[in-house]
Amino acid sequence: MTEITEPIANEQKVKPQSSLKRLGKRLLKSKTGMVGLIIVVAVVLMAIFAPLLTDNDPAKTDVINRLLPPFWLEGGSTEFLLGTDNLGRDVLSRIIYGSRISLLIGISAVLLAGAIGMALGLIAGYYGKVWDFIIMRTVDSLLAIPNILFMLIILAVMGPSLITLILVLGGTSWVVYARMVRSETLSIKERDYVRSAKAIGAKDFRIITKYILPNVLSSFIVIATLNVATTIILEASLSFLGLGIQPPDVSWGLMLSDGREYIATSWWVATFPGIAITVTVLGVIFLGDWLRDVLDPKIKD
Amino acid sequence: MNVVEDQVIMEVTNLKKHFDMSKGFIKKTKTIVRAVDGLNFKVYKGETLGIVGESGCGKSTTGSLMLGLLDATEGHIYFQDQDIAGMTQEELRKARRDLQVIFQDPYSSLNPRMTVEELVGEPLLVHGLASGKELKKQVSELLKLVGLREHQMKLYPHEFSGGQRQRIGIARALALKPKVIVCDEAVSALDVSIQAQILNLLKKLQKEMDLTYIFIAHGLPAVRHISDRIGVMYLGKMVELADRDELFEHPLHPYTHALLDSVPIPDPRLRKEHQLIKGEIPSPSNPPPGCPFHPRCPYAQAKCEIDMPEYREILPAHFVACHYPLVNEDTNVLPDIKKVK
Amino acid sequence: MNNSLLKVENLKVRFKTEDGYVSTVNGVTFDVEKGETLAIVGESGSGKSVTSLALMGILPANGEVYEGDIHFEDKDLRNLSKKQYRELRGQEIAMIFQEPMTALNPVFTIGYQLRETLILHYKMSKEQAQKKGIEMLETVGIPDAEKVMGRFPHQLSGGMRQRVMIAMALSCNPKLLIADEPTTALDVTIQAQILTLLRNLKEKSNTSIMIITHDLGVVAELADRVIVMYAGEVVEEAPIYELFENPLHPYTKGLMASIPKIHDVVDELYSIEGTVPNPADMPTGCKFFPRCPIGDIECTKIHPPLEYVSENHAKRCIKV
Repeated sequence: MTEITEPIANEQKVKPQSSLKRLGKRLLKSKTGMVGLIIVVAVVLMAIFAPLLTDNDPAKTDVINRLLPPFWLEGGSTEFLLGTDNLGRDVLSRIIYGSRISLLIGISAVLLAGAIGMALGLIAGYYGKVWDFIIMRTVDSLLAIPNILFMLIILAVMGPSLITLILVLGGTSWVVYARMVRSETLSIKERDYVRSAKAIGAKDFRIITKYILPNVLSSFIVIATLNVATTIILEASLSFLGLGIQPPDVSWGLMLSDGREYIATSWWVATFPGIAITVTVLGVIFLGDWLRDVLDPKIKD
Repeated sequence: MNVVEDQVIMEVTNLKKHFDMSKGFIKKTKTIVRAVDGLNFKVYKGETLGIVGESGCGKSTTGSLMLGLLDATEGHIYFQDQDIAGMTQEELRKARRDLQVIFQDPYSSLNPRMTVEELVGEPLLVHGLASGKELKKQVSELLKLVGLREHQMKLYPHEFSGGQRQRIGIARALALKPKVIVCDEAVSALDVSIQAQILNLLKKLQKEMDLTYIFIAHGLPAVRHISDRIGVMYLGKMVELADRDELFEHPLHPYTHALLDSVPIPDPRLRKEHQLIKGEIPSPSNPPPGCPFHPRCPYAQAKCEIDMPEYREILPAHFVACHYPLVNEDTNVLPDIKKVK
Repeated sequence: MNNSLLKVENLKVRFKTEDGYVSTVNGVTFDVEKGETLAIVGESGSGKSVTSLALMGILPANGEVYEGDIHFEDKDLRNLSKKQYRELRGQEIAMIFQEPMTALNPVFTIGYQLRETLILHYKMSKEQAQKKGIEMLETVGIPDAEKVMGRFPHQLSGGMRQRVMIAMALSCNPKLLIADEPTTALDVTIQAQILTLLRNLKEKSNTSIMIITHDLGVVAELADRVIVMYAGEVVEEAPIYELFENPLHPYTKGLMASIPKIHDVVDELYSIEGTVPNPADMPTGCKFFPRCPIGDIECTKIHPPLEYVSENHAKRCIKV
């Protein structure tokens, strides 16, 4: 019975360190992850505190001051730091307010798509057979349709609005999650720990929620973050094509669209929202890449 | 040993598991893998039945079948007078209170996202046997039983070494106070010094909790150490089954003999030429006709190529499936193959 | 001593992790003599595999040799260029691994991979290489060698793949063959075949073999001399018979006692308490002390040196 005291020798090795603290420590070590996090936090803060950051009304037109250049150029004014657009609206405050819509769409469309994709992917992967067939053939069919065209048709029929935009963006991009979750589920289902759950007599619901879902979650979060980036770009494209956000609402994509005609004469109207999109998307991608490294236990070991 | 003779706790009759691996849609190539192909044996209460064999022999499939984790193609598995092979999911869930498993790889058999407390307490929770403070108390008792500390409850599996993880797996299997535990290569992935700790722990627990083990492994020394009786499998079939010492000292099947002879002995003074058996294990999807071992058997005769030998009790409590079993003249020595003919 | 082929002195290897450097090999000294078979025994975490990777110059990207010397004949391996190391690996030192599947390229046939090495190193023509390749496969006991030349690695069984690996390793007549757990992934009957093959090779050629294993059975079958490693250090070194008859270090003794014997059944196995210490958090003094049955307070103060008790038997323990 003496051998039973075994683990004591090893006790000191286990450092009780909260996972959150560890995550923070890892973040400090990754430069790109840090940059990504700073950008994303900044954009989120900008969206939340928009009214505090600028006094200019983003929708207020001012024909006298139309197409003013940024303040550091000749003819620019410090009242409109990044200049004005063709209707004399302040570009800077439009970018600040535009972040609200861009983020709102990016995040809610991803949440919607993620929820649908996660649920269907788990069902298809875990139960297989006819469930798998129905769900995966639906996924294949959706993938076969050109995405933008599909969205444009639905938006044209239903009429563009914020809600329809979210529904359309979320309703088409869940397929990515469903495929990923299904294939992960298929492999996790065969792991010994799932067999061990069956062996103790756990029911399917418990196995799915306690064994499979937590183990696909890390890949899921990574894809979801990257998907926020693509959704922001998609929203911009749709707005650019005129079926996205409608005035007086403002989004970065819409600003790009508005600035298109003036790109040769007044470059700042389209350039600054373009930069805003690029920087935000890059930030989100950096964050996503870093999350992949941190959350993937395979890489960690 | 508190083996109760004649008290059969499990009985396997004509058990078969065939996997359909047919490929192709238009031109179908029919491939059936006969992973387990007609097993008959009994498990007595309180004993440790070892099942050994090399890869592809079907020993792990047998374990999964006995646990109801796989559906049998044919045959019966009686456990306490009920047939596991014919149970509904709900009946199986109930039967699992008495029938548990310890897996090979302590790294892959524990959910990495659950703490030790959740892992060990889960069986009790799932069967509604304990909750809240009572659950916590039972978990800490279980941990003590397997040599872990109470304060390690909140840790995750990756914070433990391989041997400690296997202890967690054992605690989880013991939580429901089962009658039978299938140990599926339970010590194969562990280092020698840790393997000894776990083997001793398993033996101690068996005595204290009146457990019956089915110990599936490819490592012969460990099987010999822990088992009361040992069955040898080859290509989905049981080729020999006998009491441990009888099997090791007087193997009757040429395959058993070759298997025992192949084990490297950790003593350079006993260094010798192995009586190598030629060739490789055939694929279970295309087993040879007749006796499955005949292409590699040094004594195969014409009959072996045609007839499948019957699995029979050739000596009291000694079963073998061979047309020409090795006869031993000297009771204390391994039969010398050359002498036999 | 001038008979030595490989000489390793005070080798230290560390890995960069996110919590800083972790040293897994802490000053290992040994040599391999011409024509001998040296076994390095240890459990996981002993540093035995890392040592072999360091010798081959194939440590993972985050690992480095940060101290010590490795001499192979008259070459200082730590000062070789990448190209020189590559040539050395191909021609003078060869290595076989536990899982041959990972060491063989899955998209080329066995024949292609065998011929490639021969053509590269011996400037053979394709026909010559084919002939030599078949010959090599026959040497390692592969039936139907010509057919096997046309197969892909996944079409062979584990034992066959290991034979192919051995054939490839031997195709350039290396002076040293490093075998890292060569039979661990194989079935017992196949393991016996491979061990016999290695033993025959050793008798026929004067290739030195360095076998790395956790299995004392394999050691007893093959080795002339043994090094026992624990926690990144050599704890005992002795000729094979001497080691098994008269093990000195408590770890070696414990290791031997904890193996279940196939012909000698005991009721309870001897077991070494505890587990191998974490390399990031090594005990001070003797590294085996936390698990040692005979250690006392003195052992926590001194880090014992490796002492020779006779000409060729050394131990790292102050208590025996």
